[in-house]
Amino acid sequence: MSLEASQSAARTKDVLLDVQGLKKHFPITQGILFQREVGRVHAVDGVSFQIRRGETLGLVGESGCGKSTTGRTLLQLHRPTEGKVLYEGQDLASLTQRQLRPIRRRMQMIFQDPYASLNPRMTVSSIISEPIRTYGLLRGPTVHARAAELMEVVGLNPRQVRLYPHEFSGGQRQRIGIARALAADPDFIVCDEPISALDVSIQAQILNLLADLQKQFGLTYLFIAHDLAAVRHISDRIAVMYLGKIVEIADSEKLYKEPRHPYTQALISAVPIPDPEVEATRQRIVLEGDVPSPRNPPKGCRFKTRCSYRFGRCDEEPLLQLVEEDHFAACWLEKTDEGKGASGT
Amino acid sequence: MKENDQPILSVRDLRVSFATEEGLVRAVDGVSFDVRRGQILGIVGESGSGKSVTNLAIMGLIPMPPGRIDGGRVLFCGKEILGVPEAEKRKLRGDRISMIFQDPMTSLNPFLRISLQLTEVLELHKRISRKKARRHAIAMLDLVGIPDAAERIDDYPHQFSGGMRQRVMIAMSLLCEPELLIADEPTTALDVTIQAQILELLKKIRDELGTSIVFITHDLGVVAGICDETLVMYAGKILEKGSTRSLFASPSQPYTRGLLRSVPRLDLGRKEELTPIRGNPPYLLDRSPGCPFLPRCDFAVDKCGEEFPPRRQVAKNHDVWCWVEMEGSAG
Repeated sequence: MSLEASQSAARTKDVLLDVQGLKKHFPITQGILFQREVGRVHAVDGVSFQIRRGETLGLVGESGCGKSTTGRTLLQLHRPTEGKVLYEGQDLASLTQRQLRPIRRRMQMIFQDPYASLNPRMTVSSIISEPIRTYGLLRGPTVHARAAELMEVVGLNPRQVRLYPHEFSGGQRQRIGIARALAADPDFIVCDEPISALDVSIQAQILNLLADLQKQFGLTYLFIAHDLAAVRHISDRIAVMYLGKIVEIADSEKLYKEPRHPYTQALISAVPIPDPEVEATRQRIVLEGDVPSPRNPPKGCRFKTRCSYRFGRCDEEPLLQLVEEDHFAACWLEKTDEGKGASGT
Repeated sequence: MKENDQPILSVRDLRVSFATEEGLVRAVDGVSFDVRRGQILGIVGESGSGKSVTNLAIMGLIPMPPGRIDGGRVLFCGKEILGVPEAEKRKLRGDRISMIFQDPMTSLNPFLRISLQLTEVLELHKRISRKKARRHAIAMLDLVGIPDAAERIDDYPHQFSGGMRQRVMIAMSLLCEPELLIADEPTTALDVTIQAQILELLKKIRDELGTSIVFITHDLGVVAGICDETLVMYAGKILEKGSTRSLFASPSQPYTRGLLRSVPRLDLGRKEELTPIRGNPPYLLDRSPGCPFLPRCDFAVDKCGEEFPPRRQVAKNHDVWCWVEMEGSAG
């Protein structure tokens, strides 16, 4: 497979997480006493990518494309249906819950909703120090001191450590969630839509904080979001998902400037630009129709039902292949012998 | 006609407050603006800015109590509609003024076929036969881009996708050919590719039917693409208003400037660091007589805390409320 060969070159770079053929299907069942499976939601349907140590990989896509499920499956919060998740070479999917425990400390998550992800009955101090106690990182009064220190690291007043979550604003709560993730002293953090619930003026604060922390602690991020502008801002590389598949992976500048996959092109052109002069002259690709159901995805290329370049070959599934250095796309237009003239540049 | 120069909607010094356990919240605090015929007016603001409450007040949908209209006037085609009896408001709503909400799933009745929900509006306001209403409804679904409208009309809301449901909502709001459409975050719950479809549709409706639209959103990009004029609201007050072009080209309020600088732009080169607005969203119980943006403003002078600034014109059709005169444009 061309992907394998080309990715082996990338493997020489320091890969923290290597995802191979990852699938996560959710059964749809019927019946009360005897549940039988009547269908499957193909949430993640065979994705392969790598995350390098110290980088931010952005994962974008629209609702229902499987980006959050991918993040959760990496952390083994969902056990994969198929495929491997190699963390420093060790396959997490093959480990038992007990074996996973020490690795789990090193992989943390920041959630979308700063209101739902903090226990309203716990003080901020106990929320932040929970991972410290769970993993036995510190003991006694130092735990509380560490919580206060982490408050400061994320830009909160350490004297507010005894307050409850409802006494903070949305942006401040998101900082508490970040402090909790940092408490476990992780290497890798999955940020699942960490800014989409926040007000516009607060989003930039959190993006800057995440970037600072990455530099300070040498963190590796998987940054999941639907907002392409925010993802491009924070990510080194970006993977675009559509209906359970990755359709394109590239350096974030390259992805914006030279998108290869028709879906990536449409996605970029749909993002509104806050400048009326630019908007007035912009050519917009307006896609027809909606995303098909992941319960019964189209055969062949998943995007073919909405793609204006579609041709006969699209009934076969295109694989993610190298189109230029460090740039992968899954589209038959990229095939060297056919449709080359139509490739989107 | 002479009527054409008159704004379709004039809001003058509107004040709305809510009684809460902690005290009185002044959600809308002296807001004035006009909507001209065939115009798309954008109202931008973050949570708590009062943008939605302003429009609920126009529609006469403020729950009272705890809400209270403390003053001001709302003129629709030159006629006061703020204090009119409920029966009269009902005649207006859905017929001459209609509204689209953010979440199409909670705004449609899940137990009724959309045919019934659509024709109900027509039967109520236009008193036409069911058969005729149905034909009209199908034509409207067709206009908003629902494929096989004649068959889909008998489906239930859950049988439509999110984008399609929003189209059904738009069709419903347009059935009586309203003169004014108030769209409150109509694309916020949708994906970007679907958002692009809905924005195109709203522009088409304005161009083809001449409907005036008030478009409420937090997304500056959406405003830039669709609105002729824009109001920027913060903590119940308008801080800047003007033609969208002028307002984006030379934002003159530190808040507007801050908002534009803090969002990453896809079309520009990647910046190392964003310039966020410092501090936290406004605390609405805090009633200082000055500018509500003061605690987060980098340009504040002593006067800012004492008195809310008067309107100052910075260009033709571009006003700002700020004591400080800013130089240069936003980078």
